[in-house]
Amino acid sequence: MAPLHYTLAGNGLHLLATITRATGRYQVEGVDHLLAAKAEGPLVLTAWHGMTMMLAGFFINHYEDPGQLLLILPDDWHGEVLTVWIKKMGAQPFPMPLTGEGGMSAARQLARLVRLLREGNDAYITPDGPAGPGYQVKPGVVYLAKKTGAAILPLGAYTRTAYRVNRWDQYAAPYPFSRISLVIGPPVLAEEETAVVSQRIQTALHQVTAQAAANYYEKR
Amino acid sequence: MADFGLWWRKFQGNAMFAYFRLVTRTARWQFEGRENVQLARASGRPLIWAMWHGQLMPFMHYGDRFENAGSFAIITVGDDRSDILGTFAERLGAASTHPVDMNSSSMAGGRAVLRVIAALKDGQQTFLAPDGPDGPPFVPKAGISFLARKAKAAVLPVGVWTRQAVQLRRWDRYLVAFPFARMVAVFGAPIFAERRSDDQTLRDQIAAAMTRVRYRAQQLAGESPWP
Repeated sequence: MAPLHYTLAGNGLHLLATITRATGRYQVEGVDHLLAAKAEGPLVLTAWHGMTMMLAGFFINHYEDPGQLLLILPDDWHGEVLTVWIKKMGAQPFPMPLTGEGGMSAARQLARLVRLLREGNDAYITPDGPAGPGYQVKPGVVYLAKKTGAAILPLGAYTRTAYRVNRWDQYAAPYPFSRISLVIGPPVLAEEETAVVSQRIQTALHQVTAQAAANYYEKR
Repeated sequence: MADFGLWWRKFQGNAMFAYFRLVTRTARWQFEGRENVQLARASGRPLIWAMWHGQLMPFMHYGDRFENAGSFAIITVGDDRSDILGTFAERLGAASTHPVDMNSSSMAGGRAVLRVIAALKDGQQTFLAPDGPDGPPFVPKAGISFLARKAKAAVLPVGVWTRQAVQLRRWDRYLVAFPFARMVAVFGAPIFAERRSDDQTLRDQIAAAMTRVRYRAQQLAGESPWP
């Protein structure tokens, strides 16, 4: 049982996400990329850390069984707050020791994650999370995709009407009734060296985010 | 007026230039990686400055202030806008202007590109926003790698940013700086294109470098890339 203030914070996040989802208008591009890639096998969904709140509602709407979606999060107090939220949404939280000091338990968790993906679940990872540096892909995503053969799907989101937390990721909390533009890019396959694929993911994430902003202003 | 449309477009070009000069004259600059410009120059190859379309205007302020405008061959879009941009480039004092019809595969477009290559080999330099003129954003089109390979050029990725600006609400979030803006310019390591370089690899490399310097310039200016 999580401490009371974690529960409160988690419920707060859930309330925010629910309001965003219920009142927001989503304009989505590239759903066919998602469907085509899903037909091929497991997915690793990625987006910059600050976009999470804009994406959450769409995925809850999209997945018939949100329980198929594993959200990777740190195993510290942030993770505990997020766990409360994610469970409320119906998705699966998956805490990972992300500091690099996990030792055996980290390896076991990773093996479990790989197995769950191979069983047909999808994972959502923010490759610059949980603490930055912002907008740079760390190797974890590529490693996971290589181990499982999953396709990496870059997601971009944009809205002008959001409160942006002034920190490394400019975390965006959309105001109610926001128009939210989402772009799902073509899948990136982890078939080459890790550095090459990381660079490709980074480029793809910038492209979809820029495209989301472009759609927001040019296609209504 | 015989052709009001043309007059109006030329007027727009002139008005743009007046505002542009005002900003150039009053801007203050901060640099990073300026040695890369020397490095690219020292290679003796023709120079292609590369940036994403949204940063064209701030980059031109840099060019206007620190580079010799007479050494630039300017590539513009080949439709109506070429009158506006051509007037603008003329007022800047560019060596030559090349309207390229980017939407057709006609011979005329090809010839214009050949003229750019000839100008580059002739010692002029140029700048290019490979996701222009109409997007999609951050997706480089084939022009830049083609031009770089054919001219055996050095491609210099540039990121220019300022907080004292308005980002237009359009696909490229075009950045229009205010007078007295504090500008930040970041130059990446030059990318040397060979005639036999793989086109896609070269393009990816340029795109990644351009995004990197853009992000760095934004960081130095104290802003985050998104929005």
